[in-house]
Amino acid sequence: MKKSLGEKIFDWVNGVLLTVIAASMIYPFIYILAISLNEAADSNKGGIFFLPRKFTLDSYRIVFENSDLLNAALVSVSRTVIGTVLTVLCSAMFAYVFTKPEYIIYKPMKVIFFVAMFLGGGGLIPVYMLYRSLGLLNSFAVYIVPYLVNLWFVILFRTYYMQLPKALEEAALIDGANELRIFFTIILPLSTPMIATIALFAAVDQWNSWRDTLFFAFKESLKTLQFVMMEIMQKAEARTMITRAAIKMQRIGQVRTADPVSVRMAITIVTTVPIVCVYPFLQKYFIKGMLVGSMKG
Amino acid sequence: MKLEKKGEIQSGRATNSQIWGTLYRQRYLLLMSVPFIIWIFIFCFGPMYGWLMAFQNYDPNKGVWKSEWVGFRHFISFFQNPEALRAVRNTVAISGLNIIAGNIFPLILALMLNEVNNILFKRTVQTISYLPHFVSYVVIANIFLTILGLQGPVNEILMKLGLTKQPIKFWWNKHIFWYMVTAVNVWKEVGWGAIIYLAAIAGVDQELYEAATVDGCGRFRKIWYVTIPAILPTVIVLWILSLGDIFNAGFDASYLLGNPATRDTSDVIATYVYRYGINMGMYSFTTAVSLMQIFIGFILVFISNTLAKKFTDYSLW
Repeated sequence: MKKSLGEKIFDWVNGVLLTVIAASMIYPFIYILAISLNEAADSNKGGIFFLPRKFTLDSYRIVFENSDLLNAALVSVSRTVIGTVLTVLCSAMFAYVFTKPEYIIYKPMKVIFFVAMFLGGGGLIPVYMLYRSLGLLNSFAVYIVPYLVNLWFVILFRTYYMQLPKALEEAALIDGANELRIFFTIILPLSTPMIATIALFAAVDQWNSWRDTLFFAFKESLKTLQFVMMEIMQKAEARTMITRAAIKMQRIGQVRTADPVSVRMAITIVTTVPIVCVYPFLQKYFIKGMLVGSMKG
Repeated sequence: MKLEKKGEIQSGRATNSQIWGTLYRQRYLLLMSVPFIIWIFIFCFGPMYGWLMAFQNYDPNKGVWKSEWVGFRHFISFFQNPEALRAVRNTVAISGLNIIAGNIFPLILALMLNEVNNILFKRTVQTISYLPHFVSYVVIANIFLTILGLQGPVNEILMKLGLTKQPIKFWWNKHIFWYMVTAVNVWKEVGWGAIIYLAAIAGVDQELYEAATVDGCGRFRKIWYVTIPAILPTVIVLWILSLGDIFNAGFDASYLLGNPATRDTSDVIATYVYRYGINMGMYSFTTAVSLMQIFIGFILVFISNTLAKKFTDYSLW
């Protein structure tokens, strides 16, 4: 079919507009990257849009040499790894029980689940008081335990299990395997696409989380990378911490190559890169996961 | 008579041992679910116990049972507190704008993507458009405070072009804060939101397009007369269901992007509760505020769900 002139113009305009939209989403990251790789004193003169003018890695050196920031990175990584593994495992296991209508407490369990889904949680202060009485305040557990089961993930897992062939499971049951064994040896290995999706969601949630640090963890040693970045953005004390590190570096001969702004940009890049490296490859999975979720409400 | 009774007792015993038998047979299922049910009771229902604080002058040293009960006093003082009411206004304004823009722009993006014939180009744009969704709000705020900052590239370009003499204070102007936040949120979620509209568009019957082509419809007309009417039910459902969120403006945007100069328009219920609850220790009053927010939110979800049920066949329950 030959395209008319109008159609061609339409395609062109549409393509250009979409390119502009995509560019507007990538450009901020390019700018941040350029600033983080440029000498701070030089950046202040302006005029940097795409590429660093005076290349330096000093801002990154500060990020990776400052013990506070290193500790924050360690907390971020450990909560992401531990939290993701446990959330995926617990949600997957709980969801498996929801595929067993013959289970004796199936109905009450379902009612509890949906009431929790619609009414659960509730108010910063009541949650704060609860965590305090459980001894979760100011402990690493506050990053893990409240996220053990994600009701939303349970629904996603269950929907996935329902479309798995029943035959394998039945055969295993006849062979005398118990449900726990079936779950680990049959169901989980068959669910890798769903596990990948949920793991991505859970890991992103954990990695990006900073409010729980603000609300429930006040110890210096529990600060996450996101939280430290937020502090540098908002608080003067954090700035002095960076400045001190920068001055220390300047003494060893690196003059005015990093300042709080450039370090902030470096942290931004450090926290964003892992995500950029992972999500494009899981695209087809999470799109499916999201659609299943939205159909279910 | 006697026999019958005996039989009854026997069957009673049987059911009892049947229950135990079933429990024993399903012991692995119990093992796999009971811990999580307990978890739900603690972490989803546990905070509800704390709701009692809203009706007393809670004293952390005395605990919930020994604190002084004051009835609805905190709820009444909430309505007499101009700062709290301001937070409510801002919450409704910001989330209202979010609901409107957050549904229109993904729809437009989906319609535009659907018109692209080059699969590679389409995929690339889509992949890029998901990026901001996965990035934390701290990073997003960091980016926009920098890019639209006084020395940021946007102001630099505007000044070089001579469009403005003074750098524009994007983030220190309380009159535009609502719209700035909405714009940032749209930028962050537009690609992600488009996924569901794209799926709806993919489900449209291709024959309708062929018929429209035969009738001599151009691309715009096909979008207007075929695509949009076909996906309208999905659009309406998503809009109605998002109404339930109108009392829920995010903490992140206001806390990270707001500053003292914009407090008048940036302070939402979530930040208000944080400031007075955790920072100042007004536990009971802020619990009352949260409780009210939860209550109204629940009513809104209920209303919007009823509406969705009435006008379409979709609903949450």
